[in-house]
Amino acid sequence: MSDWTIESLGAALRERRISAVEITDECLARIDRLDPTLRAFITVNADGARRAAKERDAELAAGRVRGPLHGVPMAWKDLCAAPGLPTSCGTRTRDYFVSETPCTAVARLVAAGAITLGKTNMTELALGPFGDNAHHGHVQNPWRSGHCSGGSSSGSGAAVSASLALGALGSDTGGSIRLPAACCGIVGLKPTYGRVSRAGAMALSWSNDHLGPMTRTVRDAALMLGVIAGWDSADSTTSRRRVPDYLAGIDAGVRGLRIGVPANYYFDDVDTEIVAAVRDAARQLGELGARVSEVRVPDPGPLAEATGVISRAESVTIHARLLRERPQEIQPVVRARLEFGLHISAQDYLQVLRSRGPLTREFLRVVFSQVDLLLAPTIPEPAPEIAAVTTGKVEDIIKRMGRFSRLTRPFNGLGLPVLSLPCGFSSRGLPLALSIVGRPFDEATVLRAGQAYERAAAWVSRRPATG
Amino acid sequence: MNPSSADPSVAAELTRLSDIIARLSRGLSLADEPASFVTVLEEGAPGDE
Repeated sequence: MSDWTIESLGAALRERRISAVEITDECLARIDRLDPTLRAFITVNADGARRAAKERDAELAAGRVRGPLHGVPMAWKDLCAAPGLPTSCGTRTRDYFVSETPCTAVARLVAAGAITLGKTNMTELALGPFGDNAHHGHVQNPWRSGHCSGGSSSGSGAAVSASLALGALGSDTGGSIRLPAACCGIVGLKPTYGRVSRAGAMALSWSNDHLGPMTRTVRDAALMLGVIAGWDSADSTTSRRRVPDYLAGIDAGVRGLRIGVPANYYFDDVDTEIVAAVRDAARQLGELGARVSEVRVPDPGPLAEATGVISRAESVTIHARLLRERPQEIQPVVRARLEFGLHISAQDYLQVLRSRGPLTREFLRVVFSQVDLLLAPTIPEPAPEIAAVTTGKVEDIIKRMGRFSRLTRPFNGLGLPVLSLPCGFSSRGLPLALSIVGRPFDEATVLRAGQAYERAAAWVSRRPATG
Repeated sequence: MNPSSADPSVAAELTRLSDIIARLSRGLSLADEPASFVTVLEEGAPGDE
């Protein structure tokens, strides 16, 4: 099971070397065996998955192939509405989020043949970067139990890392795809704002929310993105730009690409092993033919803060009823973060929204006139111990949350595509990760550089010792 | 910024953020409205369409 990728499994299924029922049963057996400890799932769709697997096998037997994911078992963050399954959004309420229409991204994946294994655990209301959840259990890091999985798409990260699922959907408002991908040693892609529909997924912040793939390999992320990207009448923020074939040029290499390593902000107060690993990755990309240089970027600090203001104001608006009627059900840190939004003035919220366009134009002008891509760390430290980020005063925990997501948050404000992928391991065996940032809607170049690095560095062959 | 919070640490954080927002929004003109953000991104995308 742990040797399959979405791509290799999809090919094996189409060639009838393995059946959808066999691989689904294998995933469900791993979930049965490992998830009581990992806590990656909130809902396991065992009967539904087996039923769908039989249907996919029957279709294959009749010569019908739905698409590249035909028969591939996958999982969805428990804020995506999926037919017949509850959507808790990590809260105590089983059916917290009810949507009239299923999540567009899930529907597209299922239409392409994916099998729904279940709904993955997450930080309550997606409000936190560590992956802890007192209601459904703290998601454990597959590489080292007792350490964070990263959040808020914590269960998606752990499920893919521990080979409970071949791929998963995550959402990202301040880093919630990239942080668990980095902590769990897998690939996570936050697409450009407007590239992937958020319809049918619980909103945390309309202005900053993104949905995207979490996979073992860069090629798998490209494959999933190709299925879920594109205009959707149910999400007015989606772009009508054409969706390219992301696998078509993915092996073209990085020769001639200009890759910038930020000279400011992104290496400040970052763990020395992470700094060394990212700089070594830059060196390797240079050896592969990229033109690597340092580049000074417009200060992302204020932008990260402003992104947080938008998120707090919008999240309290979205979840006001829960906060008003059942505040005792919300974990104290999550409640405090929600309540903070009540104090943000309309004037400040609107000023940030007004500033966002000019700030983004300036960032694009300054950075992408010099380079084609940016390369930076994803997390400032390897996955911390769960106890260290869940105990202490609420305001101290919130400050630590802000520090942990300070490298990812600016790109939600900027809406740019960012790929996080493994770039080594710490001395304690925890994954390290880098981010590749591209121009708007240029996921193809981001994925091409990620693929070149992944192939050269070969971290992808390492698996956690989950059994 | 809304000064309604009685908690001193929240009030201090609100003031800090308000100052950052004031600096970020310096230079905005009366004509600046919140832009369609996807349009801003589409303007900055590589020109393949």
